[in-house]
Amino acid sequence: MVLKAKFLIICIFGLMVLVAGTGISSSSAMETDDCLECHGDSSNFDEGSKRLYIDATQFAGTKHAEDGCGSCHSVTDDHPDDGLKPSNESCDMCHEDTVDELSKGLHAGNAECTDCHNPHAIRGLKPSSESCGMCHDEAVEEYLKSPHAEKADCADCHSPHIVKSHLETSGFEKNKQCINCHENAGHSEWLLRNKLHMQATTCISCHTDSKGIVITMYIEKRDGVRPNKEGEIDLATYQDLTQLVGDKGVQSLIDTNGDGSITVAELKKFNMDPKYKNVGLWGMLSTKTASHGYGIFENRRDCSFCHAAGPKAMQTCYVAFPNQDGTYSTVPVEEGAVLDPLFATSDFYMVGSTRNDILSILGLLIIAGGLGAACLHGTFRILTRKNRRKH
Amino acid sequence: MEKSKMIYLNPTTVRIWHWIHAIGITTLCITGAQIRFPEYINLFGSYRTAVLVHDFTGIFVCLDWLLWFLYYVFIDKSLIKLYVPTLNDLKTGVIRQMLFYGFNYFRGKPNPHHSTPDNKFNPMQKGAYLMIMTTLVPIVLVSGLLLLLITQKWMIILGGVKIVVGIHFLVACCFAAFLFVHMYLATLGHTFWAHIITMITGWEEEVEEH
Repeated sequence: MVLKAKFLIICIFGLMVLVAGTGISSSSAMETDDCLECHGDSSNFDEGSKRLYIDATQFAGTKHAEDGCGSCHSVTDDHPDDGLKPSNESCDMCHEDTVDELSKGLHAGNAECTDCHNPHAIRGLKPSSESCGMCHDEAVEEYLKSPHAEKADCADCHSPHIVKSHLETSGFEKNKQCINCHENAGHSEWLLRNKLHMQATTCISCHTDSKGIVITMYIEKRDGVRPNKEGEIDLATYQDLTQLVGDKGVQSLIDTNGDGSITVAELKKFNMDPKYKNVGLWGMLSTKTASHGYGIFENRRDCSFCHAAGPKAMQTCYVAFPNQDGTYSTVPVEEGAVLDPLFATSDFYMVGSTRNDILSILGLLIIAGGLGAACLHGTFRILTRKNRRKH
Repeated sequence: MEKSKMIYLNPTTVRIWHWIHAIGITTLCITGAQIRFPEYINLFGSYRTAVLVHDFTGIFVCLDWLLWFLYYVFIDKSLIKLYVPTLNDLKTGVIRQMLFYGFNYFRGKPNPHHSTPDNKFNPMQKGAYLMIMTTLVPIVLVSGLLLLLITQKWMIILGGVKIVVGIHFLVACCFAAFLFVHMYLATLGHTFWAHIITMITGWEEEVEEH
């Protein structure tokens, strides 16, 4: 008797679940069809409300159509006569990781998901000129003029969900974006010390018309012995540096007085401190601003474009410290640090351009000494030539 | 009355080495000057050409020096005899030679040193050439090779690329200074061309005064 009662309860419960499930599914499908009855007819919307029109064919092919309108929007029974704006469920309900990434970047608070994505269309990424160009109109306009625009869209190089500024991104990360497509760029055919150049220069320094040469020093791991320059540069992470400086902040590694700028003396102290023998500075040529006018500029093939730039062009320098979130904070360095002859930037040397003037003067004095001695002796030789004739 | 005799002072191998070194070091000095001061010096066309010529000449001079060193140490075994000053040279020879170049030459006095195949160099030359060939040349060549290869492992031992560049540059300047002095002193034979002809033919005319 008890068993019969239990069986009956289970059957009733199962039937309820079945009915409820069918009801949800049916309601969702019905809801989407109801919505499209109005929102799928473009004649219902004038120019000002055009954005409310949904192309039913496009929408039908999306993953969002499977979820139904109700999964993101909710309306009252009196819609649209209630005068209330339908609610928008946030994208993070399903795309939590992506929204989390976005919230950490520069786009957070400056752009909505729907500024770039159309959730009602298959592959609903809006064209760059429409989405990126909405805010970055100058950059997009400049980019569209370059031959690169025919081959790649903004998102091919920039991740819109992990948005970092030019200076927050390491030169190596920037170069990786280029290497994705240009792995076999034929620099070695004409560029001497090709690999070394690739590791010490950002691609955009030569392949854009960006202005203002800067040298950014990154902290690399050396594990006692520096890696061969032909090998990979192993950048120290925030965690690596925290182990060295504790809770004082990674910038205190070099900026010891914490004034937000680095002097030549502070650089020398860091470079010569045996405590930091396992880390060192790796300099990279970059630009102060990033231009989107990509191209191959013939004058960059002339080595003297950089190497004859003269010491005055090499005054601006930064040290880039890694942050916990993977970005970099740049701290300005005292002018002319890269021209120091010895320990300020002991491993960054651009032949010709970062020569030290004092060393040059010393060298020229040595040569002048040799030439002067010959000239002086020669003068006395001419003056005393009669003495030698006598003998 | 003057009487002269001919001495075979410089064998062919020595002369070849000398001129290879001379051309090599002059080329390295000029290309090096363009590499360091490209805004002011452009004798080899493009910067790239200057670097390539500098690299190639540097390697060539390295091999040439190595051959010279091995020959003098292991085959001819005359490095010490020819280049290392004797005790006598240090006690009196150097001073006597300095007095000659500084005073006695102007007074018309004869050179106190008479070259022979076994004692080619005067005490000052011995000291200078010993320093150049066994210290300065190896320093400039090794630092140049390090800069060519940019091997960081060695750079850390030497204190970084800037130190190596500084040493390379200053030693190279010493060579440039030496070239001027050397070329001038080459004209101080009994005639203006006497020493230069010796380095071309190998034969030196020694004038004996009676």
